[in-house]
Amino acid sequence: MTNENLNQHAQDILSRLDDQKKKAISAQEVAEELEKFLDYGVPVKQAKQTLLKKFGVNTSVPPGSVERTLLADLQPNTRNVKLVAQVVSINPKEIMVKGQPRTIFSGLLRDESGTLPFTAWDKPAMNEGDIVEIANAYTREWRGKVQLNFGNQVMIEQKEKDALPKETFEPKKVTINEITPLVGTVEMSAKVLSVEEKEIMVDEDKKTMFTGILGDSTGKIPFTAWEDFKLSKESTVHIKGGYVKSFRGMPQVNLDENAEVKKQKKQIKESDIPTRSLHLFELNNKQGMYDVSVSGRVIEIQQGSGIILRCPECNQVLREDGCRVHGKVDGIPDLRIKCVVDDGTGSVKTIMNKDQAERVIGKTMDECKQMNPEELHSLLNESLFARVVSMKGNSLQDFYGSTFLADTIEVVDEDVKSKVDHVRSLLEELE
Amino acid sequence: MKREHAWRVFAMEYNDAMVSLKGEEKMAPSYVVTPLGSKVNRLFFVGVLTDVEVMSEDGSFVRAHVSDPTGVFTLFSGQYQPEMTEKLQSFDVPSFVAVTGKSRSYQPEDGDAMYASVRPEQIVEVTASLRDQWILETIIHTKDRIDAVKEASSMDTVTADALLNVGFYKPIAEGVSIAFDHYDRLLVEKYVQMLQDAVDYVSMGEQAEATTTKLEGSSSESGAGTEPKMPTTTVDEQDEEAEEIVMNVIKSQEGDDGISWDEITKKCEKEGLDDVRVDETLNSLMDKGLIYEPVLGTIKTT
Ligand SMILES: [Zn+2]
Repeated sequence: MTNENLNQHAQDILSRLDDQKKKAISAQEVAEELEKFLDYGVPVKQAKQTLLKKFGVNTSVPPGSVERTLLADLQPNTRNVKLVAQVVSINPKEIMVKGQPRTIFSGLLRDESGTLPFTAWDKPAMNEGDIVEIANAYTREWRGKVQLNFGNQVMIEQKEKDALPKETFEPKKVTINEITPLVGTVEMSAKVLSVEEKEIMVDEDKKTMFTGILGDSTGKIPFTAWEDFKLSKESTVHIKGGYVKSFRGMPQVNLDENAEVKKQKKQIKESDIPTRSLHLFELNNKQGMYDVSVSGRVIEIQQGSGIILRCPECNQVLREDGCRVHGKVDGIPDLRIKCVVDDGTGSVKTIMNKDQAERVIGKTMDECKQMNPEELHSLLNESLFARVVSMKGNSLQDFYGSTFLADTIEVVDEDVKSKVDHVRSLLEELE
Repeated sequence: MKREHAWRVFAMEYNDAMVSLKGEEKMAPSYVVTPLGSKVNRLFFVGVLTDVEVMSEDGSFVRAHVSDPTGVFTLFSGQYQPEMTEKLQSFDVPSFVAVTGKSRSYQPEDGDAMYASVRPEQIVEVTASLRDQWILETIIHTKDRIDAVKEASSMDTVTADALLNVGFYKPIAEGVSIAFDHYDRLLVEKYVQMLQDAVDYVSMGEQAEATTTKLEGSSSESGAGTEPKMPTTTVDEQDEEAEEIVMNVIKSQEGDDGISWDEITKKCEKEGLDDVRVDETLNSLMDKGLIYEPVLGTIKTT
C-alpha cells in the first residue's frame, strides 16, 4: 500500500471521530496504527473497522454488510446506503444554521447508471475525479427528487478505476440544449464564441484559467477551462470528456486535464447559433439558463420598485435604518422596477435597472424623483401592467421560482389585427 | 413555496369549474380545476369592471364583477386585503381593467354545486386594446387545452406523462390528466363555439375602429381645406341620429338583464337603420362608454 493510500485511510478514520478524539490523535498516529494491522495481513476494511471500534465509533452497520446500490435505483428516505461512484465535482457551500455561517460540501457523483447530487455536513475524504466506495450515507427527498446526504457516520474508501465498469467514464454525446447540471461528462462540438484569460489564486498558488461561451445550433453555454487548450475565438472545437457543473444555478462546461479538446475542420456558423426562445414553464423546470429569450405579460409590479437609495460603500439597497453592514450613510438614489412576468404557462421575477426603467416608462430618474411614491407607482402600472415584455438574458433558479437577469428588455405592442388572422387560422384546426 | 403562474381562462370555463383541490398541509396551495384542465391557483384576465358592491356596513368587504365576452368573473375582497378592498371602490364603472388574482371556491354544504370566484391581488385600469390582446391570447391557451382534452380522449389511460410525451406543455398535461377524471368530455364542443364567438367579438370591434378612423380622417382633411366639399356636420348628424335611435331601443327594452344584439338589430331596422349601421353604432356607443356588453351578445346601458 502506498503512503498516499495509507494517509487517505487514516483521514477516513479521523473524519469519523468526534472532535475531542480528533484533537487527541494525529493522522500520523492513526496511519501507524493502521499499518501495524496491515503488516499482519489484515484486510484494509477490517483493519479500519477495528480501529474505529477502538476509538469508540459506533460501527454497528459495517460497510460490506450492505449491498451496493446504483445511483439510479436510490429511493428517498433510505438509511445505510452503499455506493461505488466517481466524484464528478465537490464544492464548499456557505449556509446559515441558526444564524451562524457554516460550510457544507455539495457536488455530483456518477456511476454506470447515471449521476446524483450529494450534500455532506463535513468535508468528505474525497476529491474530484476519485473513485470511492461510500457507505452509511442516507437519502432524503427534496422537491420531488432523491437527495444523497453524508452524515457523521459516512465511510469513504478510495477505489481503483476498475471498481466501476468502463462505460461509466464514457462521455455522453450531447448538444447544448441537452445539457443539464446532472448530465456528468460530455462529448460535444461547439464554436468558441468568446474566451477570456483570468488569473486566480488556488491555495496560494497563482493559476490561469479561461472562461467564455460555447455555442452550437441548439444554444449557448458558458465554459471554464482549467488548462490552456489554446482556445481561440471563432474556432470550432470537438470536446471529449468535459464535465458539467452547476454554477449559480446555471449549467457550465468544465474542461480540466481529463478533457480532450481538438479543433475541428467542419465549422459551425455563428448565424446558426440561436438565442433559444422558451416558454416560461421551461425556465421553471430547469436549473438556470444561459442566453435565452422569453416573453410574457407583466402581472405584478412589486414593492421596492421606484426610487430607492443605495449604500455608497457596498451598493446594497438601504433599509429605513441605513445599510445592513455600514449603518447610517448618505444613500445614492437609483431607479429600478421589480416585476413578475407571466406567459400563462410559467412566471419569472425580473428587475429592470435604471436605464431599462427610464426607457420603458419614458421618464428620467430625475423626473421620477419629483413624483410622490404613489404617483410613481401608478405611472409604473400604467406603462407596464398587463403589457407584453420580451427579454433576452439569463435565468437563475431559486426556492421561489425563477429570476430573469435581462440584458435587454422591450415592451411589445401587439398588433391585434394581424393576431386575429393568426387566431382564426388556429381555430380552423378545431373544426 | 414556489410561485404559482397565472392561467389564461375565460370566465365561462372558470365558472363551469366543479372541482377544487386542497393540499393536505396547512400552507399548501389550493386549486380550481376547470373542465379543460386549467389547474388554477392564480389567474390573469382583462375585462370590463361592471360593478363594485360594498357587502358589509363598514366597507371592509366588497364584491365586484369583471365581464369578458364569454361571462362574468366574480371578485371578492375582504378585511385581510384592506388596500385592495379600498382600491376596488375607487374605480369608475364601467372601465377596462386587468386583474391578477387568486382562485377561490365555495361549495354549499347541501348539493354538488361549486362557485369559483377570484380574490384580486392586482387590479389596474387598462386600454381596450389590451383587452383585445388578452382575449386573443386566451383563445390560444384555451385551444391548446382543447387539443389536449381531445388527445386524452383517444388514450387508454390518461396520465400527465402520456400527454407530455405527445408534446403538450407540462402545466396543461398535468391539469388535463386531473380534469379528465371529473368532467364529461362532450363539453368540448361548447368551448369550441365559445372561442369562435370570442374571436368574432374582437374582429367586430376592430372593424368598427377602422370605420371610425376613416371618418375621422376624412373630417380632418376637409377641415384643413379652404373649400370643404362636404360639410362634416352631415356625417356627425347622421351618427348622432343613429346613436339616438339605438340608445332609445336599448333603454326601452333592456330591463334588468340587458337586450340581445339581434333584438336591437331587428328593432332598429324598423326605424330605418340597416344592420351594418347598427353594428357600427353599437360599437361607437361602447367606445364612448354609454353601453357595455356584460355577456357576449347582450347589451346594457351603463
Ligand atoms: Zn453598505
